[in-house]
Amino acid sequence: MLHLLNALLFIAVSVCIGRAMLPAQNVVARSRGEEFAVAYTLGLAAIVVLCNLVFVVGLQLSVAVGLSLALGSYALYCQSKRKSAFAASPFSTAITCLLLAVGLLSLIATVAYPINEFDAIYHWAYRGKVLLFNGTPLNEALTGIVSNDNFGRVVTHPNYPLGVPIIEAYSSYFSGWSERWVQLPLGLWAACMPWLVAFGLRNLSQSAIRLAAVATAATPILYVTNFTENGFADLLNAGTSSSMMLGGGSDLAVMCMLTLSAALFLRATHSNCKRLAIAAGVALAATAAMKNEGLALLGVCMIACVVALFLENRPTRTIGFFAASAIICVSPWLGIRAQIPAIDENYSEQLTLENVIHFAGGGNELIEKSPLAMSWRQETDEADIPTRRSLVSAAFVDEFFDMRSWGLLWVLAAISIGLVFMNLESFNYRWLTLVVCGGVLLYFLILLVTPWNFPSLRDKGIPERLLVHLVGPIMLLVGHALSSIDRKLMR
Amino acid sequence: MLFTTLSRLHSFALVLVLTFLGATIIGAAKTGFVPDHSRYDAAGFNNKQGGSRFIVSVFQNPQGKRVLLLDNATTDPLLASTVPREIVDRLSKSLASKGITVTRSYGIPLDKIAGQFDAAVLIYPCDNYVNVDFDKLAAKLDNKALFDYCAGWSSTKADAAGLMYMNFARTYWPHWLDPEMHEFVEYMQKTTATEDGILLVPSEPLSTTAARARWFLPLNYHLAPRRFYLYKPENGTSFLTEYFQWVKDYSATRPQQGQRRMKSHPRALSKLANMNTARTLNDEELQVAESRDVQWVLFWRHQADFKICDFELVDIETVRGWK
Repeated sequence: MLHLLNALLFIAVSVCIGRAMLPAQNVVARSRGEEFAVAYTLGLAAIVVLCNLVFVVGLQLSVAVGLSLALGSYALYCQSKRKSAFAASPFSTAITCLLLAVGLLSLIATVAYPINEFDAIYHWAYRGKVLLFNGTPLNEALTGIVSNDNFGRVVTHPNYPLGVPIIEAYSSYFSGWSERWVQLPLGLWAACMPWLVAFGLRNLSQSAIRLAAVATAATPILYVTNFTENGFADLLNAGTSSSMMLGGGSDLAVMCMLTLSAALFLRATHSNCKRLAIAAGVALAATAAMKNEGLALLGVCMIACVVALFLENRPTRTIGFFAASAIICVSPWLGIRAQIPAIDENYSEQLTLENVIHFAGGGNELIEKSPLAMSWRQETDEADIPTRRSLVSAAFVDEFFDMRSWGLLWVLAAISIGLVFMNLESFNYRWLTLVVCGGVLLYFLILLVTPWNFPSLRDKGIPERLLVHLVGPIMLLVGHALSSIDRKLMR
Repeated sequence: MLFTTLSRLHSFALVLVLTFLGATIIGAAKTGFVPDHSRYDAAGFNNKQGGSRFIVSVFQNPQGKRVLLLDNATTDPLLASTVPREIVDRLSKSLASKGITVTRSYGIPLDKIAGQFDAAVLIYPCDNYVNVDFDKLAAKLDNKALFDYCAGWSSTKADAAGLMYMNFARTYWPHWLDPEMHEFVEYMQKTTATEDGILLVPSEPLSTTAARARWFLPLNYHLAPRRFYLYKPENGTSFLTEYFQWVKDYSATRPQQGQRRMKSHPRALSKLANMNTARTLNDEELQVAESRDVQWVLFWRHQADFKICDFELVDIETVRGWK
C-alpha cells in the first residue's frame, strides 16, 4: 500500500508543479482533462530537469525530492488562490468516457505485472535502484564499468539518460523499491497522449481536435507492436512479450515528452506566451533526458525552428525562449553524461559525414560477429551481402505499411506533409512538417551508420521503437491538416 | 473528405487496442497478476535426431549403460512439450547402437518400473513424472544423471536429491522468471550485506554464447546495491555481438589456468559436491578483490539454464586462505 501511495505522491507533486508552470486560463485555455495531462507531464519534466541539476552539482536525490516537495506544496498553495474555470472540453461525453477508459486500461495493463522485459529491467530499473540506493548517478555503480585492471561494475549502457530512473527512484523514495508500483507513473504516457494532442490543437476546429485525439488513442503502437501477427497465440499471451510498449521502457516517455513540448510550443506561438515557450523548452529538455535519441530530437526541433523561419509569420521571440529554455535545461544532463563512460550508443561519434556517405552510397551491411545459429537466423552468404541502405529502407517501408502497429498513421502523415504547400503561411504547420520529416530522416541516418548488425536490431523492434517517438508531432500535424481542410470547406 | 474518412478509419484501430488491453489484463488476472510460465509458449525439444550425443557424452564408456526414457503410451493424451514419438524412436535406436540398454516407460508410474538405471530422460511431462519423488528416482539411478527434454523438472529438487540435472528443451519464458535464479537471489540477500562487494569468477572456460547465460545481469539487478565486479563488463553487458566476442576473449585468457578446483569446499546450497565451481584465484583476480574491497567471490559456470550447482558464493578470507 505504501508503494502505491509513494507512486501517487510523485504523480500529485508533478501535477502541482506542472499546474503552477502553466499560464492562467484566460491566456491559454484548456479543459480539465487537458490541464491534468499537460500539468502532469510538464511537472514530471520539471522534476527530471531538477534532479539532473541536483546531481550535476554533486547533491543527492534526497535534495531533489525535498525541493520538489516544497515546490509542489507552494504550487498547491498558489493554485488554491487562482480560481479560474476550465475551458469547455472539445469532446462529447461519449468520447471523453472512451478516452478515459482506454487510458485507465492502459494504466492497469502497465502495472498488471511487475517490471519485466530486458530493457525495462537492466537499462532503466537498475539505474532507478542506483539513484534510490546511492542517491546519485555519479557513482561507481554507473561510472565504474571501465577501469585499467580489466574489471568493473556490471551495468548495461552506462550513459543512457536518467529520466525514467528518476521517476522510478522518486516513486519508491519513501516506500522502498517495488517492482510493480514504480511503473505507475509510467502507465500514464499513453493515457495522456490524446489530451496533449487536444491541448496543442485547441485553437483549431473542434472536429479536427476530436479526430486527431481519438486517432492518437487508437494508434496501436502506443500499447503494442504487431498484435495479432501470431494469430490467437497473441491474444492468449498478450502483455508477456517485448512487443508490449507499455511498461518500464523509455520509448513512450520520449514520445510523450516530445508531444508535450510540441503542443506547448504550438500554443506558445499562437498566444505569443513566453511562459509557455519556456515550458515547451523544459519538456524538450526532458525528452533528451529520457533516451539518447531525445537529444537528437532536440536538435531536429531546433533546426526545424530555424528552417521554418525562412517564410512569413516568424515567432522569433517565442522561438528564442523555447530554444534558450531547452538548452539551459538540458545542460545538467549533458554535464552528467560527460562524466559517465560513453559505451555502445555514441551517435555523435558514428553520425559522421564519412559514415553517411559510405552507407548511403551503398556500403555493405556489417557482418555479425556472432554465430547466427544462436539467434535462429541463417549465416550470411559473404558473396552476397546486402547494402545497409537497402535493409534500412526496406524496414522503414515495412513499418509505414504495418497496419497492425500503426493503423493508417503513416498514410495520414504523408497526406498531411503533402498539404504543407497549401499551408505555407502557417509557421506551426511548417514547423511540424519539418519535425516529422526531420525525425524520420534522423532515424534513417542513425540506422544507416549504426555499428551493429541491422537484422539483429530489426529483431529487437527497430525502427518501430524509434519511430513511435514521432507519434505526437504526426498527430498534431494531422490535426492541422484536418483543420485546414475544414477551413477551406467553410470558405 | 478522403482525408477525414481516413482519419475516422484509423480510429477503428481502437478495437484492436481495446482487445489487446483487455486480453493483457484478463491474462494477468488469470495468474493473480503475477507472471507465470503458463502464459508463455510451452518448452520444446528442437533436436530432430533425438540428441543421443548429450546422453552419451556423460559416460566415459557408454557400453552397457542403462537409460530410462520416461515417455508416454500411444493411448496417453499428448501434453504440451511432449517429445514426438518419432524423435524418441530415433533417440532409442541411436542409444542402442552405442551399446546402451534403453528402457521405455510408456507412461507407467516410476514406482512400477523395476530395475536399476544409469540415467533417466524426461520425454513426457505428465504429473507422475514431473512431480516424481526425486529421492526415489535417485535410488534407481547409479550414475545420478537426469536429462530433461521437456523443461519439466525442477533442477533444485533434482540437486537436493544429489542428481545431476541437464535441460535440453528450449524454453520460451523469459530468464527473469527462472525460479532457481530467484532462490539463489534470496540466498544471497540473506548471506551478504547490502554494501558488500562481490567478484564474479568463472570456474571454467565459458562454454556458451547463449544470451540467457548472462546471469550476472539479473543477479546484479536483484541484489542492488551490492557491488558486482566482472571482467571487462563494457563488453560482457553490451549488445549481443559484443557479448559473443567477450565470451570468446574471456575464455581465451584462461583465468582458471593453473588454479586448483576446491571440490572439497562445503557447498552452501547444492548437494552436488563434484560439481563445485569454487577454485583458487589467479593473481589478477586476487588483486582486484583487494583493490575493490570485495567481501565475496561468486564462482559460476556459464550456462543458459540457471542451476544452483553452477554457483558457489565463498567469502574472500576463505578464498585467500586457499592460496
